[in-house]
Amino acid sequence: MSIGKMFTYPTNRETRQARPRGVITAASLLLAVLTFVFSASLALAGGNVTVTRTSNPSANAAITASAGDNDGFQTTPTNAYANDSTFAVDPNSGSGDNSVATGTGADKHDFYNYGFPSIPTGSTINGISVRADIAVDSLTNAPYTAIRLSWDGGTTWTTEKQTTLTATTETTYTYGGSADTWGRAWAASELTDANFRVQVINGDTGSPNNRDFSLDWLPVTITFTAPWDSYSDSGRTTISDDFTTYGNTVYMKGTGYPAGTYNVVYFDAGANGGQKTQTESGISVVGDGILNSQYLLNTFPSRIGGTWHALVSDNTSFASDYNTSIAAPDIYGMLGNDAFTVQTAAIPEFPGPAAGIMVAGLCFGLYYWMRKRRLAYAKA
Amino acid sequence: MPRLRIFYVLSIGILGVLAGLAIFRPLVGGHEFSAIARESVLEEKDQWIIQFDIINQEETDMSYRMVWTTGGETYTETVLVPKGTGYSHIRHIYKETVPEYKVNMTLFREGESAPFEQVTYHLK
Repeated sequence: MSIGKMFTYPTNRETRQARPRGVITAASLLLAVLTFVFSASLALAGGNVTVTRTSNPSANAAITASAGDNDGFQTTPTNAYANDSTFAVDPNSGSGDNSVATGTGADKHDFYNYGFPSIPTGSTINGISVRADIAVDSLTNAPYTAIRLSWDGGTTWTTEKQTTLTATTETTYTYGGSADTWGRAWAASELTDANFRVQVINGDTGSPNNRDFSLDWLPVTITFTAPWDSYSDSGRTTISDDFTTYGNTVYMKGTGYPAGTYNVVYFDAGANGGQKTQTESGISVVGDGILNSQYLLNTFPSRIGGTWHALVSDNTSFASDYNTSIAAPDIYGMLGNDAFTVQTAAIPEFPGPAAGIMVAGLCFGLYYWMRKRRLAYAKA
Repeated sequence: MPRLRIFYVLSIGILGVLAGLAIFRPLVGGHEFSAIARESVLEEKDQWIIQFDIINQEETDMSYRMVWTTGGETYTETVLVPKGTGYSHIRHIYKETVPEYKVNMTLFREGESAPFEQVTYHLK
C-alpha cells in the first residue's frame, strides 16, 4: 500500500479529525527520538587529548657577564618561585644601552629546576607558556621584560619574546601559549631539570638605567599529547576510537612512560563530562616504557554511551568526574588522556534511546492497525 | 464517543506512561544496599591482581572511599557511583612490596566512619 493511499481522507467527519492528530503524535515522537539519537552521534569524538602541566622554578642564577650590571634580580630571587606577592627585585636595572634584550646592557637572570612531571618519551609538545607576574616602579622609557628558553642547560636559546610593561602594579604577562613551541620542536627529554631554562631579561629605552623590576612568580605550563591510545585488539596493533558492539573491550596502551607506578581511570559519558567507572591502580612500568590497561564495556549496566576518556596519573587518585579531574591536572598528576566513542549498544541494559524508538514504533504501529480496522469498519 | 476512539485514546495514554517510565524510572532498583561483587585475585609471576566491583543498588548516588594498605603504604581512592550501576577497581600488588603477604582493603560509605566492608587478603 502506498503512503498516499494509506492516509487517504475518509468521508466520515469524525475520522477526518482524528486521523491527522494520530499521525502528528506518532510522527512527532519518531522525529524527536531520531533527532536525539542523531544529534548525540554527531557530538561524539575520539583521539588523543592534550594535557597541561604547570610547574614552578626551584633554582635560579643571575647572568654575571655581559648582562647589564651583571646581577639580574639581585634581591631575593627565590621570591619568584611562588605566587605570594613577595618579589624578586632588579633595582636600577641594566647598564648603558639596555634597549635590546639580547644586548650586553640588559640584566638577565635564569630560572630552572621546574621539576616537570615525567612526560612520556614520544609525546608531542604542543606548546610552552611562561607566566610572569611583574611590577615596575615607573613606565617612563617603556620598560620591558623579555623571556627566552633553553633546551640544553643554557647553551642555546630560543628567540626571545618581549613585552612592554603596561602597569606599575603587579600585572600578569604571558609569553608563548598552549600552541606555541617557540620556533622549534621540543622533545620530552629537553624539559628535564638538567636541560630546561627560562631566562628573564629586563630593559628600557632610556639612560640612565633606573627602572626597578619586581618579579612575583614565574611558572611554566607545558601542553603535550602523550602516546596513549585505545585499541580494538588485545595485541594492541589496531588503534580504534569507536566501540560499537556488546562485549567489546577497550585495550589501552601507552609508550615511552618512565619507569614508575601509574593509575589508569576510565570515565563514561555521564554527568560532568563523565563518571569514573573503573580504576586500575598501581600499574608498574619498567624499562620498556609500556603502560597497558583494559576495560570490558559490558561490565556494568546503565553506564552512559558517548565520548569516554581513559586518563593516566602518576599513581594519584582522580576525582569522581572527568571535568573536575581535567581542571586540576597537576593535583591529579595527569600524564595522558585519550578519548574514544562507546556506542550505547556496547553497554548492557535496555538503553533509553532504544526504548524511545520502540515506544514510538509501537505507537505508530498501533495507530496504523487501528486505522486499517476503522477503514474496514467504515466501508462495511 | 465511538468505541474505537476510546480504545485509541487509551492506548496512546498507556504508551505515553510507558515512554515516561522508560526514561525516568531507574532501570535497576528496589534494593537498598551497596555490595562488593565479582571479587577475584589473580596471581602472576611478579604480582597479584585484585579486582572487585562496588554495586550501588541504593536509591541514590553514593560516594565510597576505599583504603588499601600494603606493607606500610596506603592508597586511597574515592568514587561516586551513580545509583543502579557499579564501579570496578583493579589493584596491582607487586610481590616485593608485600613482605608479609598481607593486603588490607577497607571500604567506607561517604560520611560514615565505620567501614561497610573490610577485607584482608593473605597472598601466599
